[in-house]
Amino acid sequence: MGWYIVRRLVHAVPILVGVTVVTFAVLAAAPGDPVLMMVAPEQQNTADLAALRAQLGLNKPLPVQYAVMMTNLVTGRLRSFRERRPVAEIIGGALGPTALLAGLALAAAAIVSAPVALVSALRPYSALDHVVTMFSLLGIALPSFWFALVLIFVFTDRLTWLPASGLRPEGVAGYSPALVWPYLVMPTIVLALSILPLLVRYARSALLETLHEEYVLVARAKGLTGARVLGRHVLRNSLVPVVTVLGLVIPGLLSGALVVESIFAIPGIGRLTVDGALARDYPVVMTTTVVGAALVIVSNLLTDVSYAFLDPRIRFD
Amino acid sequence: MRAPGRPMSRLTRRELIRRQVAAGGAAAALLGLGAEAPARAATAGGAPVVLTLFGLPTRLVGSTEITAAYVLLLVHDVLARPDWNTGTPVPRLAERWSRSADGRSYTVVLRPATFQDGRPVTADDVKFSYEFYLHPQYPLADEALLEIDGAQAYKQGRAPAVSGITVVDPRTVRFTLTRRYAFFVEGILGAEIMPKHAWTGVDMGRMLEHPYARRPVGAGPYRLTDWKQNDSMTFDAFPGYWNGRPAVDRAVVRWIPEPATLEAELRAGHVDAAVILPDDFPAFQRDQRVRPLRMTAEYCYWFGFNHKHPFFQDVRVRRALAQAVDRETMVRTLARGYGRTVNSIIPPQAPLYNASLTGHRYDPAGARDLLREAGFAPGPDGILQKDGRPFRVRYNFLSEKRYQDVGLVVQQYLRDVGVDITLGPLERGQFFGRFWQPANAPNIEMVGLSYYVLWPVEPLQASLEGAFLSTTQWARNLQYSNPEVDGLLREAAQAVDAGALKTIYYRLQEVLVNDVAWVVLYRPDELWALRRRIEPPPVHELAQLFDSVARWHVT
Amino acid sequence: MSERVLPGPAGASSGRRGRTGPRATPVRRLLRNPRTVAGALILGALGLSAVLAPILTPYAPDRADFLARLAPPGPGHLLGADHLGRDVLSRVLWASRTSLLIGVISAAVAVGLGVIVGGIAGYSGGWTDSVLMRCTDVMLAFPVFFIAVMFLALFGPSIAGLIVVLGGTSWPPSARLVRGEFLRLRQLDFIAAARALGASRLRIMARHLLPNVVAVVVISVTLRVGLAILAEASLSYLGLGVQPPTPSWGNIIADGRDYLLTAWWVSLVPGLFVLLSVLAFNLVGDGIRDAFDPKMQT
Repeated sequence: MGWYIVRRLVHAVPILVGVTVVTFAVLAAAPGDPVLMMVAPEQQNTADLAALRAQLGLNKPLPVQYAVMMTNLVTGRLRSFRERRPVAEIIGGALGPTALLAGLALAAAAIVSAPVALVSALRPYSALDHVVTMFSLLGIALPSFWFALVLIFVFTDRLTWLPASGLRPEGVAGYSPALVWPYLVMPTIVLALSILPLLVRYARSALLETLHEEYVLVARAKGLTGARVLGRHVLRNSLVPVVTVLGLVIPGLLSGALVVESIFAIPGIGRLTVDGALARDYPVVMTTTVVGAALVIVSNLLTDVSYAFLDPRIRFD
Repeated sequence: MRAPGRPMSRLTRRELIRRQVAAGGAAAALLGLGAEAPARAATAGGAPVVLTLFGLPTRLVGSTEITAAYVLLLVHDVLARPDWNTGTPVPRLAERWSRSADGRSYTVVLRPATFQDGRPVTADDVKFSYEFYLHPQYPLADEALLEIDGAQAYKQGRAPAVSGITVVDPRTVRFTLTRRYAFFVEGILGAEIMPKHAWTGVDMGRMLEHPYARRPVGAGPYRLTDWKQNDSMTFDAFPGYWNGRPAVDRAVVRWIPEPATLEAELRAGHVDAAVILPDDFPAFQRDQRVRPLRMTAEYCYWFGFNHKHPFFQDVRVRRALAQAVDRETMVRTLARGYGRTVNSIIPPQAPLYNASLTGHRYDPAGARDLLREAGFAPGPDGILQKDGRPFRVRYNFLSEKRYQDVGLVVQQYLRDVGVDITLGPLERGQFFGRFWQPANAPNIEMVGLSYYVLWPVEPLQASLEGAFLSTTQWARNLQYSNPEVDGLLREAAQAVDAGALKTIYYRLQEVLVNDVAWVVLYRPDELWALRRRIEPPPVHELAQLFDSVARWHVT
Repeated sequence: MSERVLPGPAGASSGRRGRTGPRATPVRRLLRNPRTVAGALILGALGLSAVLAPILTPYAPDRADFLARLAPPGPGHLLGADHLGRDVLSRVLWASRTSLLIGVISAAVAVGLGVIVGGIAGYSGGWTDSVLMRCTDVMLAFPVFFIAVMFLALFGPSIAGLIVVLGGTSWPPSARLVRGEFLRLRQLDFIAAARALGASRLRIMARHLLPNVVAVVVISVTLRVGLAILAEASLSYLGLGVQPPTPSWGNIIADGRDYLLTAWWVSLVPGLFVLLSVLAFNLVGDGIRDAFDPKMQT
């Protein structure tokens, strides 16, 4: 097992390098000049654009720029074009909120989807199952930002129960749960609901498979009651596919976070990525993409590892 | 491929349930903790006042962002600035100043004031600040400051200091100019004064990495004490401010991108001041919890043409297009009536705004006549033609909703007179990086944009030159070159007194309208709402609102 | 989607080459499933209305009637008007063309790329397989939405750009799926026979392997279209989708979001169309999958 993890981590390195190369290529090819983005249009004839460009290292040939950027990235010295602050600092600050939000949403979605999917899979094509499937399809098709705005209207505007923006009250340092929780309620619900339907559908498909395996029929044939079959055989095995699909929705979480962070004014990674790209802040874009890719790789790895942990007979290729 | 589905042998059911309970318990604990969370943590002196802006600056030194300008009004002070309403110079860090007989030299006496770190504001600090803004490696250049004697040489690295700024004594500075300059107060006395000692050890090539860039120290009413990038900036009152202790102890400026969220937060009391969408403003006017505030925006919408394009070279064509658009209806439709049509980029409240200009009336029939005169005749599909060439041009704009809407309306009006424009939205980077550059000027046909004029924070002369002086970038982008305009702008800089300046500016605005340099459309209103507990002094523009924070009466 | 979890639904169809005999039953099963039929009908209606948009719409989609600004649904405007007085029904019908086009083409591109990459990898095996799978991993590692946002923000949004981005970022799952199928199929006797008879690699892939993954491919495409339509809506919310004045469901929703509570029809109508189309595509895709999977025969 240990070797497996090490091997996967080693494999992750060339993948991340590939990610940086593709990202750099896209940045280099994209129209738009970071220097011009930083200077207001009214000032562009008076500003010293050449000096700015040299400051940012943009006057060097592309391979050199790539090498410099990678070196700085790895040593943590990479600085944002706009703020001239280390990107590590900027992203470090933004990672917390996104991680908190995504983690909570994932947990909430998992907790809700497991029993729903199980019940649905136990009685496939029944009325209940149809209702669940319909709701899942509706949920998938519902734009999350519409739903978010409705929630805000009801709970902030009309009822004034919950705040609609930020993560903590003014002037507060740190993220103590007691103060932070009202700010997380709506964003978590929206984000969880954005992955819930898919999660339920995946889990249901996976569970359907499990439930129809021959061993269940055999167990039933042997005379074991439904509950015992369920408890001893099905529940444990059903965990495996559900855990797998959790890993599948994590990239969906990251993209859902983008929209949620924008609506609820949460200073997370999602917003940082969009702003960075729009402002041609290459260091920020590169770092957020690498971080995002790393997150996906790690979540895949965790899924596979917990997979193996749950079923020790699984072989890996 | 893995093969799931066979019974597990290790994990017992009991263990599984235990794990699930543990996870559920943690979640419950999180949710159950804490009673009703207070909306705002109380600080010494009451809850902070929360303002919102449409964005936060990414940097405060050498920044051209509008949001930086607003925020710096809290942190810094200047030697003098024209009054927001009348335009007469108001002394601030300067107590008084006198002009020499030949009009080229000004002696400025500082009032006793201190910076936020307790040190006094001295003439050395003044000289330092101006030399900072004129430094060869400072990213921006200010035309007004270059009127100071020796500034040009210093900026080009040929001199070690600016010879025209002399420290006479710790409280007196003398400015010597290269020639008589009409905008001394607006253009030169309006620079923020920074403490020389706070910038020690700065490498001008990397000034943004100096600690000052993140925590500026100024002589203004508020000190920046916390800055969460792209989220919020916290300002604490500076009790030693020369104009008296600010009434508001702590002000927080936040950025909430989504308008619906913003309005909901305002109603619920989580923010104290926010911009309101025109369609929602009537509801806010009726809401007892808030106080509506209707101000003038600091920008106006306009569209322009490539003046060397065969169609647009003819002034009759330009006039026709200006007459084809119903600007009044535009204000009603796009701004729900909250705005006014204007004929000049100068803000209507400025004394130098030429209110007697009638501009181009909405007259589609007259527009068609003009186009006919210019040699256009309707083609088979209704689109005008000249020499077999249809009047079909590209109209490019920044891809934001407000410019799209303006473009759509303009497109409709122009189509009604037989001109077909194709809308071409461009994303910000492409627009400013590729499209809106002098090198691309021959490819530009029509463009729709807005123009910010932050008077009195910035001098009108700079705004006018930036738009219409044939040597500046914007005029070159549209290949606009009018010798009369250039001449008037040069004259204005040399005007002997306010009366002469007014004559020149009035004439300038007239020429710009008749020559249709741009078709200036309208200036929307800046609609805000404040919580009832906040009572600002009377203000008519957003910059003024920020400038007045120190004098807000909060209950 | 479910590709990673389920084994190929063509489990029972492995080895079949022709289109006769047992193939008739899945079609019949398809037609017997009421949900699939419903989905197909909805799709038909949507497609037809999109094609017939020029005839069906009472107004030109970009005709602004300033007096009818934000008019509620009523006699003049069946489904209301937007903030510039443009008829919502007309705009949404015209937008069907754009949104459905983007959805279908980007899904086809994604699956097409997936088939090519996965097919070559699965059939060739060895070093080619390794390299191609590494590339797939790199693409999988990119958070899809991030790339989409980055690409569109950098290159500027356009319909072609959207198709490229949406298609170019979602091929990995199809690639994996097809590779799995090819890996499985190429061991079988009929392939060995073909090779013994001297068929070229390309011929084997095209004539013998591809037809057997058709069902899988079709399902992938139908399911991807829904995702693509939703992605376009979200990207339009961020301002990176189809640019006005060309209407798309996504950008009409985005346009209406300032009036969500006052003029709710502007966002609701296109939202419903998105919902219906995603629903319909999913129903049809599910139906096809169920029809081809013999295990679903309870």
